[in-house]
Amino acid sequence: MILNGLIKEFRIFFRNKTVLTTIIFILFIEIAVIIRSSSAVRMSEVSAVFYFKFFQQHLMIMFFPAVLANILMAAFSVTSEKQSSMLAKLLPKGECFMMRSKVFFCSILSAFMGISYMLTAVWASGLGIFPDHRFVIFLSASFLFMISGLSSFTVYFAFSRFGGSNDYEPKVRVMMIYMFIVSFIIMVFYFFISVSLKTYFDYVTGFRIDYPNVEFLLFLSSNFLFLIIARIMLNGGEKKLSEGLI
Amino acid sequence: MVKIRDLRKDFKKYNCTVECRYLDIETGNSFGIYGDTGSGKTLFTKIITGLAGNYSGSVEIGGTELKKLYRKKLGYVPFRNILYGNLTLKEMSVFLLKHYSIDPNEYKVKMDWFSEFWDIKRFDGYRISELTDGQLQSVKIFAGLIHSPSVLVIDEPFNGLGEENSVKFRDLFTDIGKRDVTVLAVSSNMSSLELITQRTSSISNGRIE
Repeated sequence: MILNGLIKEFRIFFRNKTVLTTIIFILFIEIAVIIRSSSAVRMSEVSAVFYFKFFQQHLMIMFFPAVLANILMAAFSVTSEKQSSMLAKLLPKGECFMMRSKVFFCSILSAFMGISYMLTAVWASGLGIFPDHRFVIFLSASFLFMISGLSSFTVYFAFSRFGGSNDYEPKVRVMMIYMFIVSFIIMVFYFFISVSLKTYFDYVTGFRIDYPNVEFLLFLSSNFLFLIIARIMLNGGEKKLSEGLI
Repeated sequence: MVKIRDLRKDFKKYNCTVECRYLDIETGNSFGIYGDTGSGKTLFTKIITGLAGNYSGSVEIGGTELKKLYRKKLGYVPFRNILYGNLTLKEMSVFLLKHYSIDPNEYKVKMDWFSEFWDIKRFDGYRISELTDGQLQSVKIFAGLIHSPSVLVIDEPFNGLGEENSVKFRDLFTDIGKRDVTVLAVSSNMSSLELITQRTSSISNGRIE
């Protein structure tokens, strides 16, 4: 059933010309950044400091397309559904299906856009020799938790706040609040991941002897907590939708 | 069979109380409710389709209280379009069939049946948003019947349909009745209701007479 929902989401999302144009534009920007980065790395002297600097920058940029996918989902996909909230109430388990399929699609799109950028950047710039397996697992898990949490929050927020009586059309003020909250979440995420990356850099360059397991674990735990909170909010949203309160 | 007893629901947002003391509609029969704009017709359909809960009294469909009823048994054709505008008719229909856990190949069977009354096949590849009002109304009725519900609730059945199409759809509703589908239609147009229903009643200030 979820595949049915994903196919529907894909069609609704990519048949919006604004969304399609924005995504193509972002892909061009990503390609330009990768080309620029790969030529800059080749010209630089090969050292762990340079590698790490570029790696860290790509890691930060990786979240931009992922966050953009969330914003596009909130601004276009939910609003394009318009009166379909009534359809969700008529279908068996429709409310749950409608919200979850949006979260799944948003998570997949975010992961695809973010990870594909990161992998291409690492491969094109020759940064693949830098991270070890534990570090890659840590990054993947934190990205997964973050994106799933952010997608859940986005869908919850869009359904709860985008004027149910007005076909989910978002008001400018509500959209600004959403952007502010997302920016805040990303800034907090950036702050803590920078701390984790610094400890890892210290370990790689020999300023620190023990592997930064504790820092990684704390960061992952806080990300997981964010995911749980976002899922609880999403469940609340589903319940409200089924009770006709949204 | 649809059985309503002492139904009452306050819609504070619309400043309207919908009341229906007694109503029975036999299986395969059709019942129409006529009322002016703002009389509470659409609000009544929202109760019957389970979209508006927390009512007092009882609404039974096929012997099961509405609150406990599996949604698959109900078909609803609202006044507004609730189908996804970006999907084609075929995509929308297949999506609905899959959601109701019905074989997607059933789409062709339903199309063949519906085409006996209205030429729906030529709109197969049209996006819902590209359809005219009349075409959209026909597609909405098709979508409401796609999962073979036992009760069809329809708000303004001939919305956007011309006179010629109205006659075709009269035959469709007759056929639906033969298939044991109970029809409850509401409209502000008495003549259109009389065309497709066996019995009619009226609603005024939310009260069904």
